[in-house]
Amino acid sequence: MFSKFLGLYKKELKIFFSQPIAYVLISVFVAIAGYFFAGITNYYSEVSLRSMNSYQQNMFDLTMLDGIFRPWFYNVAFILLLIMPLITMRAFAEEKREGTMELLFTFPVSDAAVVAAKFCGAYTVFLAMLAGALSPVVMLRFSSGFDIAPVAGGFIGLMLLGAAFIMLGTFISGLTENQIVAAVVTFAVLMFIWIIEWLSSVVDPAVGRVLSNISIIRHYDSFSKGVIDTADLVYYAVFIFIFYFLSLRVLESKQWRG
Amino acid sequence: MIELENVSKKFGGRAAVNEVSFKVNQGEIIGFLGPNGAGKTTTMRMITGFFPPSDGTVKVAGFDITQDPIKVKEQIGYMPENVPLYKELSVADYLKFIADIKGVEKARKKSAIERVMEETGLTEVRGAIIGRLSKGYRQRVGLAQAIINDPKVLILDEPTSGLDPKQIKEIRTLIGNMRGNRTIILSTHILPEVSVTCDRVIVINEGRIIAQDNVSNLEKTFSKGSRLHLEVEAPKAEFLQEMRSFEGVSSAEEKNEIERGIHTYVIDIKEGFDLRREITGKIAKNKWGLLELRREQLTLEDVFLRLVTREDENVQ
Ligand SMILES: Nc1ncnc2c1ncn2[C@@H]1O[C@H](COP(=O)(O)OP(=O)(O)OP(=O)(O)O)[C@@H](O)[C@H]1O
Ligand SMILES: [Mg+2]
Repeated sequence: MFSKFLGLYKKELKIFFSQPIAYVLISVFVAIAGYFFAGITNYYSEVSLRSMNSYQQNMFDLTMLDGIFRPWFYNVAFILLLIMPLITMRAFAEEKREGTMELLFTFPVSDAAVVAAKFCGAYTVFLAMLAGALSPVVMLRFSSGFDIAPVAGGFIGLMLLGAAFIMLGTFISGLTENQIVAAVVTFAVLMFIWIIEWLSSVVDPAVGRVLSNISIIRHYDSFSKGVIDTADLVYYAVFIFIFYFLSLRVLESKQWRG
Repeated sequence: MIELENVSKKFGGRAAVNEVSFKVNQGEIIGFLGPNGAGKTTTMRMITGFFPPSDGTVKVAGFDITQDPIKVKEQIGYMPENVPLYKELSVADYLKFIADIKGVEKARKKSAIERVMEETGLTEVRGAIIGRLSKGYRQRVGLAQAIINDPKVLILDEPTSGLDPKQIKEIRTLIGNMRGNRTIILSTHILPEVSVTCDRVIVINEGRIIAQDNVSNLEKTFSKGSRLHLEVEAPKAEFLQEMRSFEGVSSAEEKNEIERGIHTYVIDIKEGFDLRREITGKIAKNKWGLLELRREQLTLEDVFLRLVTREDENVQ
């Protein structure tokens, strides 16, 4: 069974990297993330230099974590929101449009393996992107030693956030045979569960608490501070599981198999 | 090997396949014959486990498709209509993927891929990207993926559609070479195809089986009689009336007017009659001019058309 999954997974990667868009997406992401990192780092060093000169050193207690990494992590999360739908959009939509899904369904593999391979393929691409974005961080580490542990926490958070984005995008790709529709809808849904927290201030406080707990980015907050909270881990795990399960339902549904 | 019992498939209340039952024995090649929309593809999709039947049971090699889908799928090689393939992959990469997903053992994977490429004539294009191959070569890739794990059953949906005559011949030869012990079902609406390759024909129309037999029996049962093609110089109405008055003529129709007063006619003769002498005699007696006379036995094409129209008459 595992070798079948591996075959599917390798196919996903081969197809992804056979398209120019793969390289464009990865380089754009790495470039934008690096650009933000440079900008934030510059600003931080200017501010900290100024505060040292003005003999108010003790007033400036903004750590590198709060001054550089937290804002940067939020920026990266937002760039992911824009780019991940483009990576997951073709997952099932393209197979459906091309009819290759018909053959896939008649191969001796389970739907579970098919969905898992789609997810893992996109996730591997995402990890490559993240590794690229990591390089300026590594360079900064050499020039000015900072505490690694909380930054690692932030990266673990990004890895979970990316997994959630991918699972949702894979599910939505199964609902249509048009890649563009898949990308736009994925983007809209991600955006919605990102900003749903804003509603919490205008509705009844009880409902508001629920809404802000649904918000995908709220659960990223502790990670960005380097804190790994079980509640957040559970949130992402449940989120991923729900959309994995829904993807399986979609594959079984009438829409695919008539 | 393959067993369908009262199988139906409904799409939104409309039955695309209606209470179909048949059996295919090991090693048989079955032709699935029917016009567009007859339900050929739908039936094949149920056998391959693409979708479950709405009613009835499908068994392949003793396994029920709804209960043991993976077991059934392991026995089957399937080439869908229009041969969907991953256009971005090279032929060799694609076949590697297929070998993995069909569970070909690691030790035998390489030789299996080489063997099918050899068999289907893909060796020279092994590195080519599938999206850039010609239709004929894509069809070969479709066949190659179907046979890579040496399945007991092959299901081929219109394997030669859209090919030029030379390639049709080559693909037919390939299919012929694949038989061995294999059970093969192939669908087509091109009749010569079944008479060339198949042991038995299942004719399907509007979701129902309307005949199943071997090719020559079908011809015998339904081509009782023959057809005469005539070119005659004679008053049309009078000539047709005379022809229809013969015992043994099932129909007489005018086809074309060649020149003023000269027409071509098609006359169908019932089994056991040969009216050529009587007809020429009648023409001579009336001092008409016989310009051409040709007799033909009915072909499978006509049989098929008759089957389909017969069914239509029953429905109405
Ligand atoms: N997924 C589906 N949803 C709704 N109707 C369908 C679906 N698939 C097939 N049909 C209908 O079922 C009938 C049989 O279609 P099928 O594709 O089996 O015909 P076919 O014999 O393969 O025809 P062709 O020679 O054109 O390939 C058609 O009327 C078709 O419109
Ligand atoms: Mg068809």
